[in-house]
Amino acid sequence: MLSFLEILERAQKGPICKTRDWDIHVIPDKVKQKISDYDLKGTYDPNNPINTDDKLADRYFEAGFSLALELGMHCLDTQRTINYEEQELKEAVSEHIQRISYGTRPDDVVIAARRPDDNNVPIVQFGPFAMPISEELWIPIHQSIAQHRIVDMLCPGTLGTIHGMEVRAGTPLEVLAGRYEGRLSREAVRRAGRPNMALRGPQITPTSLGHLAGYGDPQGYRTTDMNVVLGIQELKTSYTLLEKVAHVLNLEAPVHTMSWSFLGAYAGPPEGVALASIAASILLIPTHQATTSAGSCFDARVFCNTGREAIWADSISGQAQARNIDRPIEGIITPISGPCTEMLLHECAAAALGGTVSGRAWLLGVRPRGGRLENYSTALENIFSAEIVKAAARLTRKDANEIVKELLPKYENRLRAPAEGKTFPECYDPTKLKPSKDWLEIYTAARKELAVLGLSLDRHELNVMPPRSVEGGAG
Amino acid sequence: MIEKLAKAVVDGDTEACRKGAEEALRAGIEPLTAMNEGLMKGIELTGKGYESGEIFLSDMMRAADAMQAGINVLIPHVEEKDKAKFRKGRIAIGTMKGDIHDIGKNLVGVYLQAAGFDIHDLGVDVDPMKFVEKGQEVKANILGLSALMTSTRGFQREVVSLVNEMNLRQTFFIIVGGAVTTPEWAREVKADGYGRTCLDAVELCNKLTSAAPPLGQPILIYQS
Repeated sequence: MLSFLEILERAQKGPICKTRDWDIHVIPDKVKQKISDYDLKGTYDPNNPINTDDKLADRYFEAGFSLALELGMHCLDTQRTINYEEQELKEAVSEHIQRISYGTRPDDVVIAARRPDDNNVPIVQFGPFAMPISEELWIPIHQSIAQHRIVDMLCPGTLGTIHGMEVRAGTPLEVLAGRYEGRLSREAVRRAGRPNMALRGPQITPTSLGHLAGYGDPQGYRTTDMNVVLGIQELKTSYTLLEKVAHVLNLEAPVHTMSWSFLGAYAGPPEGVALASIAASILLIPTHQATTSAGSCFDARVFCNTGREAIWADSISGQAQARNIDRPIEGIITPISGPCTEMLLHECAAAALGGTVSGRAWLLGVRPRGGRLENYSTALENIFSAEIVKAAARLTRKDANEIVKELLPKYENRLRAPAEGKTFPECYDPTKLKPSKDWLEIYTAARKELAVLGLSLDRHELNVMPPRSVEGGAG
Repeated sequence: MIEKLAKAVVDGDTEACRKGAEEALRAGIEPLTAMNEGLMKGIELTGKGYESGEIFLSDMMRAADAMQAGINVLIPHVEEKDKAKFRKGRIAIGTMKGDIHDIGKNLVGVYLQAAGFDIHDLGVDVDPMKFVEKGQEVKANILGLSALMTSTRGFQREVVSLVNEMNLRQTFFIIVGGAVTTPEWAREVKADGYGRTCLDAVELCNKLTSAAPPLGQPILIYQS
């Protein structure tokens, strides 16, 4: 792989391009050209939301590779483009990284690369991914998810306050919050009886301060956790992100990177969004010095990835990546409805099915209400989604496509006015960490519904150990 | 000729719009007619295309740039009494410090521009004081604050504080939006308004044009 110093040099000396030009001229024009060059126009198939055509997936990869090669990556701070030679990108996608482990014994997990229609079971990295979670509910929400063994890794939310004071980006409060978030999350998995469970983190990192502050405390984030540096859509990075990369490299830990491409924004139709996400996944490997990378698709118009277009774009993109990048590829579940609703479970099922059969090696989520609203997270949608992921590994894309075709009409016309649902304390007992009767009934009904549609979920024990009483706190 | 102007906006062709506007003037077409039936028609069609999913944000932004180029040619020739229709007010808009999300802010900016407001885009990662300074510099009527993260949302509160403490509360309306903002949040930080979607933002700003800051209670629009 190219050295990080080489990347920084290119960020300083690459061709100049204003961000606005990049967004509204360079990206859309080049994406349109690639759609035309590779004869991809009209390949979005609304009648079949999960792609089943390997040759089409490979054509998308070729086009995405070409897009990555011709565009490179834009650096916001220098207003320059980091360009790559063809051989450099070929080496990035062909480097053989089949497995990577996170966490420490006995709570460690191994993520292995998967292919479309792969029967190997993906890892689930669940929790209120980057959602606003209040201080007082932080441990109950995270503990209630981590206590279920079906969840392999925990993904924390973000703190809005620290000891009651509003966190503000780029200030000393972000430094305090980075450590505090790590401590609270570690405390949650300890109380769940899984102290060495891998976390995804740090999450409260609008600048690099929160990231830097999250590590170095044995009771916070560890280098054996998943060290994440996200990209910016479309095909952009920044010095803030490169600072985080530098920090993880200093820690001698692997970097995971990913980027969403947005429907409704700069990359155009579903075909273009799929292409941009593939290009992002390729470019982020050298740019962020990543061990694992991923490109996913998200619908910015409805703030979720559970609509028909997003599921299709994410499926073709995931398949293109899983078949052609020799590394584990991540997927994500972001519904727009809220907990304690049937709609949420339908959305979760569709996204989890699409990601799993398309070859994603691990699934990240679950983010009800588009991940935007405070405390709209419970364990039950995470358990349900994990059950879908584990069961869907037995399905082919063709089978999953038929189920998703049945699921989508149940909710897709409500994506702009979704079922709002309830917050954690409204549908969970925050002390016993058990779902309300209503929420449990909705969950049970959804399981039965999935069985009728052809996906029998394994029985998962909901009655887990009572929460541990602990001494001391996380502060 | 008027149709060509509308098409130039839809195509996002800045040069064609500028030339089309000049040609319209030379042909003796009323500037107001060229604006209403050409430029505004074009941006209206573009907006409909976005709402129906046929076109995308980049097309909208190009169309807005093209429309602006045409307006710049025509507006000096519009009678003073008619100018208000195309100069409803000036809005300094940006994403809060520490936050680099720009898609929602850009989209709102285009919709407001199309509705006749002058948009002064501060970009992303904007310090609270920059909003105030830009507002003073361009004599803004409205400061539009966007936030997509809980750790950046607090800076909206800080802008309100700065404006209050600098005795500018009767100068600017302050409106908030973005993924992590809610009507409750707008009330809490004592903003003048909140809109959930781009269309909400347009309705909100239109309502503010007939009021004077500050409002006792915020105007909250989130049903569209």
